[in-house]
Amino acid sequence: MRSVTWRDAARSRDFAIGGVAVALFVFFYLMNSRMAAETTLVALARTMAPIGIVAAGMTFLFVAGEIDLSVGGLYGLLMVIISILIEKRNFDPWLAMGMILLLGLGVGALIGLLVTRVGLPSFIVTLGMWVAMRGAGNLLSGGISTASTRTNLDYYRFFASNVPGTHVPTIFVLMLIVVAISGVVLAKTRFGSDVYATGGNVEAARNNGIRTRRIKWTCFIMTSGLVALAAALQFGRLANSPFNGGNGFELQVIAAVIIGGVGLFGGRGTILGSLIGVLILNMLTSGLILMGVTEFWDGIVSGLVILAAAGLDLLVRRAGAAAQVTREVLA
Amino acid sequence: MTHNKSTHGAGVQQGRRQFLQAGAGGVALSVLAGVLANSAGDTEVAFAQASGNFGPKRKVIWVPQATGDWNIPIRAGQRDFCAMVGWDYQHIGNPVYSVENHVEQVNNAISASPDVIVTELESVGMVPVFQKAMSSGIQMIIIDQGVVEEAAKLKLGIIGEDGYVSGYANGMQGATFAQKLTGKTDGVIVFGNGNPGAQLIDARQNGGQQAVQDYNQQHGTTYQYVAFPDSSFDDEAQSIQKYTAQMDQYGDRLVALITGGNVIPIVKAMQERNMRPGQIAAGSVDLPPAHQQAMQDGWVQWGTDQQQYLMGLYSLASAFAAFDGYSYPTIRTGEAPLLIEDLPRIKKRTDIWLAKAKAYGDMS
Repeated sequence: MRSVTWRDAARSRDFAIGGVAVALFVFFYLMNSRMAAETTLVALARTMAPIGIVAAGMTFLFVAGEIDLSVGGLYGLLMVIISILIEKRNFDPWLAMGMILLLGLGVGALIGLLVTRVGLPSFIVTLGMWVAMRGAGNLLSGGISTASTRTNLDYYRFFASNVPGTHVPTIFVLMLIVVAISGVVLAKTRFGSDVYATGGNVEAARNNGIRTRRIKWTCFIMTSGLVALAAALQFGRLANSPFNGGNGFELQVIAAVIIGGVGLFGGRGTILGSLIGVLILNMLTSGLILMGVTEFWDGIVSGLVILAAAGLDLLVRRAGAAAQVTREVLA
Repeated sequence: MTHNKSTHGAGVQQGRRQFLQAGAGGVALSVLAGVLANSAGDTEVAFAQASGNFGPKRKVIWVPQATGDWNIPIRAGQRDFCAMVGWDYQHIGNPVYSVENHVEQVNNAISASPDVIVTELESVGMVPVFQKAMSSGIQMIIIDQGVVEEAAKLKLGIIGEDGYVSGYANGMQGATFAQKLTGKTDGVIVFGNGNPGAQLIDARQNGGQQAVQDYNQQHGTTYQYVAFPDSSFDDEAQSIQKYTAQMDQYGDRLVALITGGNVIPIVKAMQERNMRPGQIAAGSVDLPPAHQQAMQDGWVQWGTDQQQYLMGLYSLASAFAAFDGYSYPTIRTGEAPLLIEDLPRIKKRTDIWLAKAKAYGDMS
């Protein structure tokens, strides 16, 4: 087996997008040195956490050749439900968290069944679920936010806290744990390679004995379960369930995953890439404000970064393909 | 109790629905009495409702530009008025604000052929749909905010606060508390805008800017006023990030944070930055229960009671007057800033509309 050289690494998508992230950070730092201030980085870490957790699940789905548009609707709905359970039904917060985790897994199982057993396209199923769950969230919340009246509970303290002795937000560490486990599962396990095989060529995967429907179903369950986890920790952090929570969340997650180089048509992408995508997307918001640029540019720049990421992806793949041809010719 | 005598004397057999309406009218009146602190004439009104003196039954649809916490007291006021006069009531709305969404919702309301549509005229882009409704014979009532010139052309009043006056009061409070809390005579006062382009919110920002200028002239300070879109209506998490970035950008120069919308992201951003309550000034143009709690805890120094319950009540009272041939006037419901010492009475009023909202099923 040929060893991986620095040239190979330089051609990898994660390396390229990582370079973009570093370049962006340096650029923003040169514009305003406060970009590297501890407070800025801590705020960035906090904001990244829920998006990063869900992006990990979405990466599995994308690699398996599927998509879940319902994550924002589910995220908002579950925040409403946990707030009602804790604040209006007096449930223990940890129990309420367990309940919404189960609910999230159940929703994922339902979506997965509709896609893999009934045969409906995931785009349609999850679009419908997104609308339905957004509506359910509005119905349950009555269009109003539910703020916690008992913010002294351990639950809120835990999710709003930092790792003892540091200024690193606990929710950021939770995200890193989720991302690390997801990364190992996707890159190093049999299940992960089955996910790549399913998304790369579903027929070939099936012919090789991979239970592709089971693989996709599991990815849907994982994604919705991670949405539930993100909703629980975000509710804990905010001690508030905004009535429109998760508004635009699905686009942030999908944009981050695409920026991170995960292929829209399956079979390609890494958890690390998605994490870097989340970082880039969130860095833009803080960086542009620090530059004193009017905030409306945020959307424009984010869009341009998505386009640039797609272009970069194409260049890296072409370079990789060209190198492969060269190697084959030389061999 | 002349009304009982009269009703029964006439041998009128009231159906269950009428009986309930009469009861609801009485309930509405007790709320009105609590809110307006004026209970005179309640028995006469209950009598009028019970005996059908309020005229034909009307159908009302309230179309807020976007659904939100602030809809709830308005709904309570409107429902109370409907209960009093026996009108049918419906509210619709979209949680995501845009002029397009708003126009679409008003079009949906027009399709339902109500007698009255209550909504905002927050943009010139709303004028065609207002004209369409009015040409269909629907009585349009402008609530919460309206472009003054366009409202005048449509011969409609505006029931709501004066955004400029509110913004001015908030800017003045921001500068006053900034100096009082930080002791600095120079610094940055940030004013966030949750709905850039909406008439009311832009007016609040303009008022805030003028107030800071005036404060500087009057007190020899050199505060810099900075406006920015804060996403506080759309995405609290992102709004927190934006306020945190503002804190990073201005550092120790930041002396006040004001929002034309939801104050909670400001509070969260301050907490996550380990600031202490009152380290810098904070306030907003609103005063929902969560804001009141933040005031109680010292994170926020002031709020603004727009009297949304009365906004709702007046909006339909105006429709009622319009059906009698009167053109309804602009009614400014309130822009005065409220401080910690005002909280007990504000909480009392809040409890009334919260109880009403629960009774009507608008809240669980």
